[in-house]
Amino acid sequence: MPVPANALLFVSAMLFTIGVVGVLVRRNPLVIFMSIELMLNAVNLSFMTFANALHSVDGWIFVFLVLSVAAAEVVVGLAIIVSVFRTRQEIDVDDFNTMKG
Amino acid sequence: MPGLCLSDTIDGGSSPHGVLCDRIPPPYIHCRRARPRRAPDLPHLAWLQRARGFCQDVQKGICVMLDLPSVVFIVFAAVLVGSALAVVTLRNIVHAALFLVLVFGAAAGIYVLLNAEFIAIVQILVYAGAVTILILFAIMLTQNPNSRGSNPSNRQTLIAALIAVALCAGAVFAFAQNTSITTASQKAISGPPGSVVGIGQLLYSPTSYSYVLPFEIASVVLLVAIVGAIVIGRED
Amino acid sequence: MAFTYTITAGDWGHIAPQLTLLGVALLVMVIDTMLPARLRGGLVIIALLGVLSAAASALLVAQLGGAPSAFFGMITSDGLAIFSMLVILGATALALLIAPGYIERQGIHQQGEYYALVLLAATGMLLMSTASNLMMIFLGLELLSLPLYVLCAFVPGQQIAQESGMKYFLLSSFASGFLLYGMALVYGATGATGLTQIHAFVASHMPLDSSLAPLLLVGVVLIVVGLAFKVSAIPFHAWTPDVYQGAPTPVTALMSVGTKTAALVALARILVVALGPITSQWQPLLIALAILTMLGGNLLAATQTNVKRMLAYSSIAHAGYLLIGIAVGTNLGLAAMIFYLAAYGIMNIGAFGVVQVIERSVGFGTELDRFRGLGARQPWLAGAMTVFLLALAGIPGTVGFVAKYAVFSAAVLASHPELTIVGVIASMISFYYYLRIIWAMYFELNPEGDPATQGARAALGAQGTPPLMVESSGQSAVIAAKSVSMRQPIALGAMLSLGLAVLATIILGILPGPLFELARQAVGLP
Repeated sequence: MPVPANALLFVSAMLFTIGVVGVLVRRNPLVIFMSIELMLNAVNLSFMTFANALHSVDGWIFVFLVLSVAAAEVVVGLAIIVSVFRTRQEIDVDDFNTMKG
Repeated sequence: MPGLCLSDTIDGGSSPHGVLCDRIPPPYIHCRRARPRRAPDLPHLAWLQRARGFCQDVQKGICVMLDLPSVVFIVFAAVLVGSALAVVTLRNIVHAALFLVLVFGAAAGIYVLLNAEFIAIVQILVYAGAVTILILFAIMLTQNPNSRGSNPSNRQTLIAALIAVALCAGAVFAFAQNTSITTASQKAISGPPGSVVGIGQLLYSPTSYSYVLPFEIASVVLLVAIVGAIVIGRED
Repeated sequence: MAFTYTITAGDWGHIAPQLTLLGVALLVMVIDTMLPARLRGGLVIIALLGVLSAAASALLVAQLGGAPSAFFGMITSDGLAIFSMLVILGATALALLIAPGYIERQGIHQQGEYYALVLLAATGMLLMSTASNLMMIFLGLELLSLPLYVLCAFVPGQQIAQESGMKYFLLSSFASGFLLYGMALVYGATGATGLTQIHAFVASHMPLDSSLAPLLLVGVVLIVVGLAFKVSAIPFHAWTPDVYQGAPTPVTALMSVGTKTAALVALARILVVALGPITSQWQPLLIALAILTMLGGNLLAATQTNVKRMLAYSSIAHAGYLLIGIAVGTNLGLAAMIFYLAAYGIMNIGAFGVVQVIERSVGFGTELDRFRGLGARQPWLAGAMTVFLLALAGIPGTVGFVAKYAVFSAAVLASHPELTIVGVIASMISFYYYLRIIWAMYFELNPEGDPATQGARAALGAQGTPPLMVESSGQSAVIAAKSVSMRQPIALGAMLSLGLAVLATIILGILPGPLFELARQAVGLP
């Protein structure tokens, strides 16, 4: 292994944490969405590290699946976000309080 | 890592490069500039002895920064974390999206370091290519040109900080104790496949161990995405 | 060239129910393009037939037996899988039955896509509940989530539905991130993604050494967090009320039952089946989740005035009772949980079915006021609602009581009486808000907030003269009142669905034996 697995895992944990913080503190759904993509990339990085360290192909396939599912999520998610904007002209999630109680 | 091993000096030019280079573990890739040494007594361990000899040089102090994979890793990791921070903190949403491309690219670079060229290429194609373009389109379609500060933050910072600290502590707790991930694989196939044929067989071969069901389900997920996007996008 | 196929017809036979649903979903979409608009209502029949044939093939798979898993251990068809598939398919059928009237009222034109997406979501639920590999659990979860995001945002031009879809999408993807990270760590600790391999690894490495345990346990915590989002356990429930209220009601009904079933069965497989050897490690977490969810869900539900939202909180509370089944960590607990899932599916879809009849536009018109005097206006509808609410509250004689009894007794037998005590207290809290609806339906006969009466009164009041003097305008007011009458027509499908649910609630409440025996057999108990 050229790079120690733990170093890679720390990087992926940092990336994941940054993504989580992004989801929690940002209000624009697109940025929240980008933060979720950061989380997914952190997950992929962990999977690749483990696959490499364990000489197992499972993690490798998992990354492949996460990649394709993430692409599918992007399509649906962005379609919903754009349609919300078309109706409201405003996409700040904290303004979404039509339902409260 | 055969692809990166271009040395023509390490074995003194006495054996075909590919064979020898393949057997040198990646940390010693920087040996390419090593002076040819005296032939060892055990020919089949030659590569090991050379590498070890060179590593003693490393400990004498000059070669640490020549360790190419480590340097590349540090650069990619720094870019990765730095751009991720930029994505989350920047006020301008278009800049955030562009930094997201950097994150994807740096991750792809790390995948190359981990011997997963195929995943790295898919990462570039799908994430840096398709996903970012879609996000940029969505930004284009949703941003109100009259509104400044398109990327406000809210007042959940305390909760976010708590969760972040908990996550980091959990990860450090988990990884720091984990001195060695040496568990043997329990699968028939081990190691990422090297060739296109290997990848293809792994993904959808009905005649050998393969991941054909997840692969097919992933295609159904993509179908759902197509239908869903059309349903939402269609106005009637 | 001769191939030796390691994936045989038997492998594909294992996923016959999923394949059937998938095929019918595609068929519905294709037929939709060929039918003239006025005949598209008939698509629901094709979808229902698809669900029924999927259920039949699930029973066939159970009858034929054969290898316990297929596709190299990706998917299993054990008793738990078959039982949960039948629960999900039953819920899908009931949810499909209440859909047509609603679709017509809300002006949803894309019927073909609606039914296709419902079937695809059900396919994902089936896959998730039969998965025996972390990969398949993840894929099943995504396959069920993606159609539901779209279905939540389905009603065109309805802001509340689109908000609901977006909230669901963002929070569900967020939860998926946690789930995946947990899976990555578990994979890193055990070197496998197959649940059997994980079980073998953990069992052979007991007691866990200090380099392995943290990785595995942090991974398990993250998986539990990710799936707790999906079953809407407190404190990961924040999305549930908004999404349930904003989504079209038939979708809410499906979501509240199907997603919970799939996610809980997957959680049970991961925790009880694969990580059984370290039960003592994850048990406190699950017990805490169950207690918080039971108490919090019921307390929050008691403060609601919108019945649809109240049912959303009540479904959170029921997730708490269901989590007891996993938290006790025994097979009996699992049997109780899947029995509870079947019971919950019937009564909850029934309750949402009544709400669907009452609801005017998405998320509105389901206030408690609109239920006032329902017993006089529509005695059958009110009677059905009463049955469902009593069952949800767990009154003896209904299936809800039997289910609660099964779960609580499993907790006592596994020597966790604290769960039973909290559960009983939580159920008592729940009596308050369930009975409040029943009270409103039968004993508040003069609906003050009735828009129809108010409209008529306002019309009369505006005249400023006694009704007799202005007979014609008075009559028009009465006609106006009738046109916004509180007496909702019930579509045939909804009537059928509600009737079936009422019958099942009562019959299974009186004779729960056979179904409970099936549930016990499903988890391998004698």
